[in-house]
This record gives sequence, C-alpha cells and structure tokens, in this order.
Amino acid sequence: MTLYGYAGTILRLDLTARRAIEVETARYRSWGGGHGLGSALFWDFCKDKTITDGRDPANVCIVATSPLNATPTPSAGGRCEVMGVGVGMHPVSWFTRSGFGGRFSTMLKHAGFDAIVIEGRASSPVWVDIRNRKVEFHDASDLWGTDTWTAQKKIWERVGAPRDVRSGWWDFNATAEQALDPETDQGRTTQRPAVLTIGPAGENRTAAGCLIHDAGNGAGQGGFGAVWGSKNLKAISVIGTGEIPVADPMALLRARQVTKDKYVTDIRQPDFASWSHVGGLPNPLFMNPPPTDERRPQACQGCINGCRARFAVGYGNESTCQETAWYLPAVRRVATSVQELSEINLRAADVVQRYGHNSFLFQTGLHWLEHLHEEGVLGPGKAIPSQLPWEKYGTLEFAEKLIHALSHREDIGADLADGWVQAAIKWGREEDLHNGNMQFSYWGMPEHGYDPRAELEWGYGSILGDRDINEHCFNIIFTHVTAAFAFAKPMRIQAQQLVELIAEKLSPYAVNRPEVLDFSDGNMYSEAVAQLTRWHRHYTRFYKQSALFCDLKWPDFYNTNVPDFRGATASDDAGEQVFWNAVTGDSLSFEDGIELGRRIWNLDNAIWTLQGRHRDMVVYAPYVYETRYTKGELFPFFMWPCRDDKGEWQYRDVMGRSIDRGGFEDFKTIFYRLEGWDVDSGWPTRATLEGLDLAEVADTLEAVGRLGKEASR
Amino acid sequence: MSRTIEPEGMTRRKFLTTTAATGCAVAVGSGVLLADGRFVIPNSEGFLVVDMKKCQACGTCMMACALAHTGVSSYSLSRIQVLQDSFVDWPDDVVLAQCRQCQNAPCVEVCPTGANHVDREHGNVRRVDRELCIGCKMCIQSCPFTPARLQWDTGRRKSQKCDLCVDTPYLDEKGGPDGVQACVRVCPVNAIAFTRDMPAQTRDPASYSANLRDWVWKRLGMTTE
Amino acid sequence: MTPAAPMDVATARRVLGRVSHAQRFPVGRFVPPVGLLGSFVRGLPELQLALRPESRSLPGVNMERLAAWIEHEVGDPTCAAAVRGAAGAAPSYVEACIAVHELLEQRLETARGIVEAAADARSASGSRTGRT
Repeated sequence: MTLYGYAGTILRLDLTARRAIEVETARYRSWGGGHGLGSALFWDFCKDKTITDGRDPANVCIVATSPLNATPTPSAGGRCEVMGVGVGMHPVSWFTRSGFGGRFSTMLKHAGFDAIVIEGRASSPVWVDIRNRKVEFHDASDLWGTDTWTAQKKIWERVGAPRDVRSGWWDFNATAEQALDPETDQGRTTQRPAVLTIGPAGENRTAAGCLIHDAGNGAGQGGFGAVWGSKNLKAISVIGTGEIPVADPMALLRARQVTKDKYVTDIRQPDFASWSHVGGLPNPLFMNPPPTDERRPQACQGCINGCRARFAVGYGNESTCQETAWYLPAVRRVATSVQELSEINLRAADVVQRYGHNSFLFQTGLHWLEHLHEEGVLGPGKAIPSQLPWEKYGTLEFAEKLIHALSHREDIGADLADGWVQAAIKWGREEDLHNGNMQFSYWGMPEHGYDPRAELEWGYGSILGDRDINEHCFNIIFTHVTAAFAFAKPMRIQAQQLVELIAEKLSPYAVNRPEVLDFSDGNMYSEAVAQLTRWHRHYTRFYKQSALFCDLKWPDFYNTNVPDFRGATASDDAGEQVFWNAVTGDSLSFEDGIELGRRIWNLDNAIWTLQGRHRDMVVYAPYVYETRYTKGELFPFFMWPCRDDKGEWQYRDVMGRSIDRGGFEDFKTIFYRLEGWDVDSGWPTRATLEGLDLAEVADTLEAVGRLGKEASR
Repeated sequence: MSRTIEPEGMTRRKFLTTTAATGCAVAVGSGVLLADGRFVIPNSEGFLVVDMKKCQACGTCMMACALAHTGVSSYSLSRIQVLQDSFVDWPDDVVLAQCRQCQNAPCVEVCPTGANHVDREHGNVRRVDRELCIGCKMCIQSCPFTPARLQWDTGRRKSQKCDLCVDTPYLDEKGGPDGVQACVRVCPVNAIAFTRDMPAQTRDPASYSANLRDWVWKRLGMTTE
Repeated sequence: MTPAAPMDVATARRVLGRVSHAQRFPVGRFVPPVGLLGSFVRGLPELQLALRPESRSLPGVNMERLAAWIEHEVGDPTCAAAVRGAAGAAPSYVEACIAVHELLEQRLETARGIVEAAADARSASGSRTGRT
C-alpha cells in the first residue's frame, strides 16, 4: 500500500555498533509525522525514560520530517523537528523539542527516510553519509573542532558534491554499468547534500550547543548540539534523488495557488501593512537595518515568503530573527553609526552560527552578565572570576571571545555550560531570579520577549509544557495591534471582530467563544483561558510541530487580504487540513488534527511523568510572581483584546501586573481537569490515555506508580 | 561521481545527412535539413526567463514542476533546476537552470527517434514524446548548457524536458505557451516569467535573465539594479 | 529651547559621556517576531542609536521618564525640556521617537562642537605657553 507523502522508511542509527537499521514508517503512520512520529519513536526506542540529562548515553535523539516536507505546501515544505531529552534546563531537562528549516528534511525524504533515530554513543567522533538509503559511518576525528560552516564544506567535498553552483548534474553512479541497469541506477541531482552538524559548543557538550544546517538554519533550543556531542556525532549528510508519492497532486497545487492568489498580498501591488500571518511579503527578519540593498530574500524549501537573506557584503547570510540581535544592546555601547551597529551585529550572528551556539540564551542572559560585571561581581579578581575583556564589551572581539569561552567551557563558560540557572545558583545569585535581574522564566530558559505576565497563552503554554514555546499563533495579535497603536494608525480590524474571527477557528474547545482571548486581569486564570491554552497546545503539537507548518506563517486566523478577513486556517480552500489530505490521501478534518495533537501532547506528558514531573514543579521563576511587568521599561504598552467592565471589547494595555501564585495554581487545576489529568499530580489518567488509544502507555505509568488517579465523579 | 555517457549508434543528423546527400532541402520530422547541413526548426512561441538576483531559492518551482507533470515530489524530475550554495554571497549563490527552448535545439536535432520534437500544435515547444523515447540520453548529452536542461527519469528510463507545461495532467489550469506554466504561477516572488520574445541565442546565461525587480522590490529594501 | 542652544563645556561633556551602571536607563525594542528586547543605555549617544528609525522594529522608551533621566542623571535640563516638548507635541508614539531622535542628533552635534572647540583652545593655549 502506498504511503502517500512518506518516503516509507525510518532510519535507526546505532552509534555504539555503527550500524544502520531500517524500520517501516507504516508502523508509526498514525502519529502523522514530525513531533508525533518522534515522540512515538522515543517511547519505543529510549529504554530509560527516567533520564534527565540529554547527554546520558541512554538518550535517543530523533530528527523527523513530515509528509508535507518536500511538497509546495506553503511554508511547510522545509521544516524539520528534533526531539529527545534536553540539556541544561532547570530543575529538570525534559523530553523536549526544537525545529529548524532549510533543505534537510526535504533532502532526507528524497534520500529515502522519514526520520532518523539516533541511539547510543560512538567510541570516537563520526559523521554519517546518507545517500539514497545507503548509510555509511565515517571517522570524524579531523572534523572535530571545526566550526559548523567548515565542517559542512569539508563534508560536501568528501561526499563528492559538485564544486559549485555552476556545475552540472551530479551522477550518483560509480560506473556506466550501474547507470544502465534500472535496478541499480542511482540517478542524478543538481543539489548539494544537506548537512546537519554541530560546532564547538556541541562538541564540548554545553547546553548552548545547537544543530546547524547550511549557513543559518539551527535547532537551538534543547541543547541538542550537546546531545550529539555526547554521542560523538559530528554531522549527518543527506542527499537523494528519490521521489515522494503525493495522493492528489492537483488538489495540492490548487490549494497552493489559492494561498498565493487569495491569502497572500499581491506582490505586484501589495498591501504592505496587511494583517495576516501567511499573507505577507518576503521580508527578512533582521533586527537591524540590512547592511546593503544588494541581497535576496532566502527561504526554506517550499516557503511562500522567505524570512532570511543572503547579502553581497560577505556576512550575515541566512541569519535572522534573534541571532541578529543577541548582541544588539552591547553593540550600542560602542557603535558610532547605524552601519557599524548593523555590521557588528551580523558578524556576531555569524559567530554563533559557526560555533553552533544558541544565541537565545543571551536574550535576557547578556544583560544579566553585564549587570554582574557592572556591579563588580564578575570580572578579573571578582567573586565570579572572568578574564574576558569586559572593557571591550560591545565589540566584535568581545563577542568572539565570549562565544569561544562559552563554547569551550572556558572562563565563565565552565559554569554556564551546564545551564545558566544552575550557574546562578552556584554563584550565589539566586536573588537575581527573584528580583528580575535574571529573567529566565521557564525551565531555566530566558524570557522570550512576550512576558508571561502580559501574554498569558505564551507563558501558560511554556510552563505547562517543556520549554519556551516560541509559538507565534496568537502573539501576532500583539504585533499587529501594538504596532498600529504606536503609529496611531486606525486598527485594520476592531477588537470584537478580531476575537470573533479567531474564535471561529478554535474548534473544538473554544469555537465561537471569543472570551478565551480576553487577557484582562479578571480573566487571567479562567476556564476560558485554559481552553485557549489547551487548543494552542494541541494545535501546535500536530499542525505546527508534526505536520511542520512554519511557526512564522501559521495559523492564519484573520487576514485583511481577504474581503471578509477570514484567514486561511481551517478553511476549505487552503486550510492546513486541505494540504494534509492532498498529500496523504487522508480525510482529516481540521478538528481531527487538533485531536491528534492532543494524543501527541498526552504522550509527551507521559514521558515527562516518567522523567519525574509533578504539578508542584510546574512553576514560573520567582520574579514572575514577585515583580510587576514594568510599564514602559521595554515598551510603553502591550496591547491585547480585552473586555471592559461592560463586557465590550477593546484593545487595552496589559502591562503592569504580575502572576498571582494562587491564581496560577487554580488555573493549573482547571487545566489539568480539562485535560483529563490528575489535578493533584498533573499525571495522565488511564481513562484519558485509553481514550486516545494509549493503553500501553497507561500500563507503563501504572507499573512504576505514576499513573494519575481518576477524577471522582 | 561524475561520468560521461557516450551516445551510441546513428544520430538523427547522421541519418539526415546521409539521406540528404542529393543536395536538396529535406523536410524531416520537426525540422528541415538544408543543403548546407543546417538543421532548421521553427522557433518556439514561448520562453521562460528568470531573475537570479530575485529568486528566494525556496525550490517551490521545482516541486510544482515535478508534481504538475508526473504527480510526484522530486527535485531530480523538475524541468527547472534551482542550484544554491549557502556559503556564497549574493548574487552568485543561486543559479536557475531552465530550458531555453533553443532556436536551433541540439536536443531535437540529435534525437534518433523523433521523440524529442517540435510540437507544432503547441507553439513549437520542444518536447519529448515519452512513447517514442528510447532512453538513449543523447539529448541530455547534446545540451550545450551546464547543467543540461534535460533530465533523466531514472525510474521510467526516459529523458524529459520543459514543455512550458503543455503536458501537465496534474495542473488544473491549461498549460503551454497559450496557458500557464506551473513554475511561473507558483513562484512566490515572481522571479520567473513567460515571454513570447525570443531571447538572444547565445551561450551566455545572461541572455535568458531578466530584471523582474520592480518598485515593490525597491520598497522592500532590495536593489533593482 | 532648540537642540543647538548653547551649553557650557561641562554640560557638553556630560551630553557625550556615560553615567554609571546604577544610573542606567531602560530602553527596549519591539522586534517582531522576537518580541520586546530589553536593554539599557548609559548615555545620549547610545540613546540616539537606540531611537533610530527603522522599518522592521520600534524603540521602546517611556518618554516622561526619559526626560527626567536626561535632566537628573545626564544633567542636561535644557535637552530634557526639549524632549518633553517634542514628545508631547508628536501625534503618535513613533513620531515622538523620531522627533526625539532628531533632537538628540542635533544636541550631540552641538556638544561635539563645543568639546572640540575647547580642546582646540586648550591646544592653542598650550602652544603659546610653549608646553607640548
């Protein structure tokens, strides 16, 4: 039976034995792809699910694709999901996830695999060459120590890829005879191998270790670079000439065209200020002015509007979003012009890409380090000794030395390598977690920029899950409304209409219940917001992290490019399920996808439960309760739709408040009850798991005494 | 590993040259062989031009091309190829390689069976008739451009090439010179365009390049030079 | 007041200088989709860069507190009054940022001119007295 949308095979890499084992994807078909596939594979192949450090050899790391990868599904063709137990979180490194874009998932499928399961630990550094289902382990001793860009280029050479983009077809056959035999012909490609690799930060097993692909695609969260480093795995290279069957190619192409023609602003005569998620223009997400207009937008495979760039100036290629701003506040100390500001920032972005270092840790962490230095706590001869050239803070030289030290466990990097909150505790700086000097809000990771005291769904989703969610599903409300306020421009959509448009899409739990989006003080801990949080967890677990629709383009709840403002999400002509069905041949309803997300989310919770999770651990960093989100400190206002005393909808500022401990505990109780989890422990119950066809999972939890008790009726 | 596949047997040129030895012009298949040995075929009525400085290298055109023609997702089966190198600076990081519908198409000329032919019913597009293709790969070898603008379909043991979407059973719009082309339709940034004006017939890749960057591109902060 | 209003050398030095870490002023940046980035500035040159107009992001600053900071921590009440006036007159928050950015640019330029003139005068004076 044809598995439409799939390559059909999952690859297990037993690094200990340097052995490749194939598993039929059909066994895991019910999990969809991406995260669902990965969680199920982790459940089956990780033999000790009590581990809480991803560097444990028992850890299993999964790199998983989706049926939509390698297809022109808008902004879903090129994403890839990574899973496993993480590194450096606090108090526990959970089973967690990260994602990256580019060409890797596409090429992995063309090479014949839907996912890679990385197990064990190699006795010495290796890299893996995957070519049309042929898998070879190679010695990586001489690659160990190289940066991520050098490693990729060296591997291209070793694989025999064409020298440059002006080369011809690359024939995979070793001999003419092989090419002539239909049974052995390996085919040709013009493409380069897609390589996923670690740099020094991962090799040295630091929690900041990322997986990097091409110049700027990175799986940053979770410390998966350290996981690979601990397994002595430097890189995986994939290249293939295969084809993926698609159930209804015509429907797929039609839906893609509908997206472009109806939901995306017309690039010939665009609305530059449209309110939409999928419907924008290719516009790189730099945090600084681009250094030159000599550039292109650069996109992941299948993307409908690229968010990165390649320049003519020789730096900054493919970096986007946070990595282009990690050093920004520091650079302002020294830059004398906007041009200099931009160049140092983009060159600093190159530095973290090459070291494979997670720049997100600096989102709030850099301020904290600067604060410690300025307070006389950190520096040469200080309580926290550091020989870094702090007098050059803000220069490119300092950035390079800082990243080098942190990637090599040198200087303060020796302590930060195993987690920043752990370092704070070791340094006797727990007070900083209370007073807000160190804003690491969830699980030992930095606050993202959407404070949990204001943007509730972001905070709740993060602390009830395993990491800073980095999911902009609802966050785009803040972006559109706050920007319009800042410019004193009329709202493209008024508050009441906006929440009603969104609520139309929130099936099943919150459909046509706009009150779930009311983030006013009186509604913060309500059943309504709990339903929104549930929907968000389940939507993202399937559509965003399993089907691999890009976070920056989906969901598309509302869309001013469309006359009635109804976005593409869940629509009959270009909704997420339309693409899924066209590719796979399924008859999935939008709600079926949400339900599949609930199943995946429950399996994840079962894994966290085995790792030792209990509701008592599910708490924010102390500052979230003990300090207010100061108005005007980051921005003058944080606008969100809220109901006023008369029940009328308005856009209002939700800054200036904190999270109430009791209120949040009540919220957790509501959330757990709605999820069918034990409200005392937060563990899944048998009834809930069996309802999701996860009886075996319930058996496992019961065997170790960690099955939630059923709610009394 | 690269290797060269040598053509075997008699090419159509050899065949035609032999039969035209009387000194007359001989009409054969797609074209006319003149007495001086020149093989003349009617010009295509449509061409694809590309803007390599604009392309966002998303590969969507490749995916759409393979799907529209063969119903599967495959880069190797795409009639348009996008080559990119992440570690090279703009504008040399991306190359688009599309069939040029050459005026004097060597791929048509060398085909020993007439499979690679001029489709007079569809604007003289140079096409491969899969029924007639014997998989000799001579057309691929004859293409003077790098990479060759014809593809080898490993599974079906046939050559293939861009037909401006004349034969697109999986596209629900009319294709061809008088219809749409999947790659043009799907490109998010309009970096591929269809034209009826024949570009200059030189080996220079730039002759099929167009500047498709307009005021919108400028407004987005990117050069239109 | 105009940003080019005269100032003494000591004020000019304060305008171009940096206050202590304890006297720092919070300035954020709204950079979708990353979020609201927090940071601090310790002087007007940094502040001017932080307020730069840019199509992809917006500066985050509390204008009222900013004027007070310039007055009391930086020590330029004239500039502070100008900031208050410019921010108050602007029809939107973004235009307030642009107005203050331009104002600071001129103020910094004025200050640089004064400090350079003072240095030239000192140098000339040193030459006359034979000091090197």
